[in-house]
Amino acid sequence: MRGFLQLTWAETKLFIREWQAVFFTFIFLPMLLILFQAIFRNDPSVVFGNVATVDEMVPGFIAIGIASNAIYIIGGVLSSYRERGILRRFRVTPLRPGAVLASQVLVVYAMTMISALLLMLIARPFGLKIAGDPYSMVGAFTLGALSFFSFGFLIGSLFKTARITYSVNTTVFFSMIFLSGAAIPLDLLTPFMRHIAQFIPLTYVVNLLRDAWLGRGLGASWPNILVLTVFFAICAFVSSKAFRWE
Amino acid sequence: MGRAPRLRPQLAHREISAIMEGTGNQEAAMKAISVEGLIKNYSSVRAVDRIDFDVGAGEIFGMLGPNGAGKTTTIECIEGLRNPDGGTIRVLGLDPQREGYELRERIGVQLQATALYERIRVREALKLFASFYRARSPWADDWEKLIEPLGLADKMSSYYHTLSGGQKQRLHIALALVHDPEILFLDELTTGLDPQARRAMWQLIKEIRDRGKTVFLTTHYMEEAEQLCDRVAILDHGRILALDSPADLIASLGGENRILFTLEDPYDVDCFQEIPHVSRVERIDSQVALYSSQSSKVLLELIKRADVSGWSLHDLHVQRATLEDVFLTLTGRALRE
Repeated sequence: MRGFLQLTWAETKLFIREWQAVFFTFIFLPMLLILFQAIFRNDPSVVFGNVATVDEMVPGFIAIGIASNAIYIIGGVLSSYRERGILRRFRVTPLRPGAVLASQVLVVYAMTMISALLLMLIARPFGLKIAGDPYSMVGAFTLGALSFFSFGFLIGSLFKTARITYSVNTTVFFSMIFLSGAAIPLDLLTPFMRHIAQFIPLTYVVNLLRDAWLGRGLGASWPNILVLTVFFAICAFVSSKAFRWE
Repeated sequence: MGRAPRLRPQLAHREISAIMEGTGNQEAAMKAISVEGLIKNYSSVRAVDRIDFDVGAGEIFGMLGPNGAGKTTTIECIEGLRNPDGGTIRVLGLDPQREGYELRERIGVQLQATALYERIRVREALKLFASFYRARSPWADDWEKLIEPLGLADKMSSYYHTLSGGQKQRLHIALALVHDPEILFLDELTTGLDPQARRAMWQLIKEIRDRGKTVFLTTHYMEEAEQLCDRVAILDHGRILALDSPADLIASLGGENRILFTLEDPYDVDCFQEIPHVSRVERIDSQVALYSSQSSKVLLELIKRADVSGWSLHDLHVQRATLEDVFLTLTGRALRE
């Protein structure tokens, strides 16, 4: 337990010292939100089904934050730790493998949540109205984050080198944010692309978060919850089988 | 050099078996590591081929051999990082496969290719690694005491990636020592260090041994094995060819020295072979090596003949036999290719 706590503390400091992660999570995403607000303004728009732009956009950006931290941080860090032999070094101590994974999840979960709160704070002057109740929002966020973190572990377990993982990550990440409705409203896509979006796991995170944030309630969002739970189970199972320390 | 180091382990044995009293088997208490019939295959290649040895508590035990001899595989089987394909290993009476977590509380490991977070500070790394163990680190209140002898006292707040290769190596030794382990494993400890840093490292390892720790190391530097180890196992193609103290291994060659010189002038090998007391003559290009247990007599005769024949002998010197010669005698080839 002491090892787990110290490792979590160390990973927190390491996250903050890694400027790319800090930049993307805490600076780039909020900046992008401001930029999009300047472009689209906040009038209720037809493409968003007459919901104010900012109210649709914030859950979408939170989903982007979840995806980027899951794919780049969890997926990338895991394979770079393995490649550099850090996981191997831990293996010759009494530290349990579960503690390494759990501390990683805890730190990235906390950082993603801080970035979500930051996005909401920045969107307030733009007229963000949150209709959802806090429990549904935390619940939706947690399911979205955990299912994508297990996906990050899967990517980190499958590929041998950090370089390959990085290329895969970038491909996966960008196709996801553009095809899930997180960055661009799905209604702007062609019918064919909208069909493709149904096969993008991030689409379900975006939908789940929007339902929670707009106060539609989690009950209405059950198909999203079902898909993400299954997605989580599959990724967790496969990555636990594919995971290697070295 | 031969005598003194061999007395130490016995002293340490007594101290340690006194501590371990009550474990019943005194014989087992004296042994830090015992390996019997260890086999490890990589697909169809047999990396380690039925090796047996014991490491006594409180000694520096070295495995010497060329790259690919099976040293790292052996040390990693003992550490529990790899599963052997056959044989028995006991470390402090524990099975590294079945009782790995229990064992790892009591051993410290420095891996051959080892890394750490780039942006962790030295002090943070020490604290982090100390937290992995049940026992509180004896240095927890004063990390300087652990790090000072390693020459890192002024680096406590430095990031790992700013350390030099030698400093990183020494930090990894500190990390292997944070929990005051009973056995310290060092895989190719001084590879990549300059000669001065290497000597300082040897001194350090001897001090660790003198505090009653057992040290198990691998090396492909024969000088390191000779200077540092109480006992050396010479490994080649996954087998132990010889195991003894460096002094006894060298003595097994019959106490021969080697007289070396270069000779550009034309000559006949036989004229060296017929010098009394010369047992063997070797030639590599213009370099000549004469082997003899009576090197001073041979030298006198050699100089006399050079004078008569008008040869000019360059770079004439006498070398005592080393572990390199032991390896050469055992395998028919040089340790360094």
